Amino acid sequence: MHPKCLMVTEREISRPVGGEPPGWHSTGQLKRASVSLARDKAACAGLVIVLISVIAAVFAPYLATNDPLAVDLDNKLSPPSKRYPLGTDHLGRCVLSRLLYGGRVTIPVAAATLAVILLIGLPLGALSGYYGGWLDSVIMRVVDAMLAFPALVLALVIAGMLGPGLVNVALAMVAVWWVEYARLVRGMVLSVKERGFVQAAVSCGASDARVICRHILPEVFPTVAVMATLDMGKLLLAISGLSFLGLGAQPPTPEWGAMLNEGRMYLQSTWRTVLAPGAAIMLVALGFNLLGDGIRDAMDPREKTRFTSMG
Amino acid sequence: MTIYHVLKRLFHLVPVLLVVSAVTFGLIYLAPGDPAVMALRAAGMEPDAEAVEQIRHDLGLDDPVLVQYFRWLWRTLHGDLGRSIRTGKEVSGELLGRFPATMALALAALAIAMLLSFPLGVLAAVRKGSVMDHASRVMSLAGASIPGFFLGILLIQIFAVKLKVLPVMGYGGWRHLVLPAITLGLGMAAVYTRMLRAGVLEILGEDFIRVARAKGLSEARVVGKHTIRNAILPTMTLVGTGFGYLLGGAVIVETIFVWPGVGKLAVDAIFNRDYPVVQGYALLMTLVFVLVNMAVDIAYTVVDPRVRVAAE
Repeated sequence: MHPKCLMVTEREISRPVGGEPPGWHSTGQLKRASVSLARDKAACAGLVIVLISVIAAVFAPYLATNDPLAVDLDNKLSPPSKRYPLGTDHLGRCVLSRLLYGGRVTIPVAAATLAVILLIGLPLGALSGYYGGWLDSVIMRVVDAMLAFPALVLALVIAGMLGPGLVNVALAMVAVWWVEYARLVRGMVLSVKERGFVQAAVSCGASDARVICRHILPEVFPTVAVMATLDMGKLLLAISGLSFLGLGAQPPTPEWGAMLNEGRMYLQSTWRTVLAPGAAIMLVALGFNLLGDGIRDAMDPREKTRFTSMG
Repeated sequence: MTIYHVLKRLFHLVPVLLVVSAVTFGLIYLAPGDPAVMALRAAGMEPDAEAVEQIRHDLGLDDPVLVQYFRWLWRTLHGDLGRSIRTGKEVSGELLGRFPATMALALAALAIAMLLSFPLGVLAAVRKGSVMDHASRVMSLAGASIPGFFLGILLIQIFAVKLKVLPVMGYGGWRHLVLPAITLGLGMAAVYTRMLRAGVLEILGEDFIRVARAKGLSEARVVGKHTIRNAILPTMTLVGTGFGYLLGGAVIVETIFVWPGVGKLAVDAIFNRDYPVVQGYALLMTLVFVLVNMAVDIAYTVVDPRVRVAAE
């Protein structure tokens, strides 16, 4: 341990000096970011959209007017009525109920996929950036190789080889998507670990795990949060896109992309069955995009540095 | 940028392509089931133990994986991607026959993305906070949120079915290309518009812009000559990665518009479990992606003197 450190605690010395870093280092900053987020009307609209769609999905069994799988061949492709508020599809199934239940498929699958992507990408990127050496070389070689592929093409081919199914689609997404996070986190860790407060923590004898988790990752977290929020929108589109192609959810599962694909065959009769799931996907993706944009604006380090350089 | 540097870049591609080929070769192992059994079933024979053993030997499946890989690589380097299980035709021939349609679609989409994002992004930045800026934000949010398969169907319904100004689907002259290209290009336009706006805003805050203004240059000249060129260059590097997005998105667009490209071929092959075609598709798309990225890098070096100096 460095002798000087004996006089102060690690917590005190590792507090950043001279301008606060862009991370959520103090609760004050978190509060400031939340306040500016709350003032951002577009971001609030995004949050409301996301919350409503999640609530609608969670309470689908109570909100749905019908069984989403119940076939009613006497009433196929029927217009909206009291019994079927959004009409029925080509098998006489209630479009509204399928839409509500569809949220229980698409949204959680995208969220779980994102969680796994983060669980793989974050630690690999952090280890690679922090330790360097052979570990870094190995991880970065793999990352480079993955980046040589067009991601969506590779995801399609992986999902196609594994065979149809939502789990396989999710696996394919994880396989091509973790790379982005590993690369992002590695780059940030490389720069953060040179900063004074991290050096101070190291010289105070903090363990590697403590330095990474307590000092480095909080700096990385805001950027990752923005990217993850925006990626939720992208993942929703990509997963429902593969379902649209017939690779993801299999009938009769009410998944939005699959519903749209089924409705496509009956466009001459009605396009409500296409409009409903299409609008649902677009709305939820829009919600995440608005929210992600808002969070980024709320804590854009560039805006902040410009602000401090003026003052 | 000399021939020497181009050759050096090409040489650097060798290890990348080796890894790409290994991954593509490995894809076949993701497929469930024994390839020998599948080959027999595809040929309409009942797979008994003896026949499976025979076919494993004939196909070289009893050799070590590395031997199999290098044999596959050797054949691939000679343009032999095997034969389609379904049609029996050469995979390379099938892919190349449909390749122009996909490239036409991707390039048209790229052109549309550029034509839309360029004026929108620059105007949004120059007139920050104006109606124009808000309109560009709304457009890019919508473009980033609407799924291609939904947009494609909407465009067909509006322009082909209701207004009857463009053909519904199929392949032919430029009129057939309009709707698929818009469907594919809009998402990319959305991203580029935001990037260009951010790029122009950043440049406008630089000291040399203040100098240009201070010495009395007209705003048109400040933006036209000093800002745009500097702002566009970084966006250009994104054309490479964006092209990968176009190749992936083309699969869905080709399916909706019954566009006879390699994406449609790949989707059909996936459902027919026609693995050599799927493998060939992955290889071809990746090769195109890698080459486009290299071309963008080289073009960037030629256009931007700062990068040229750093490279040398």
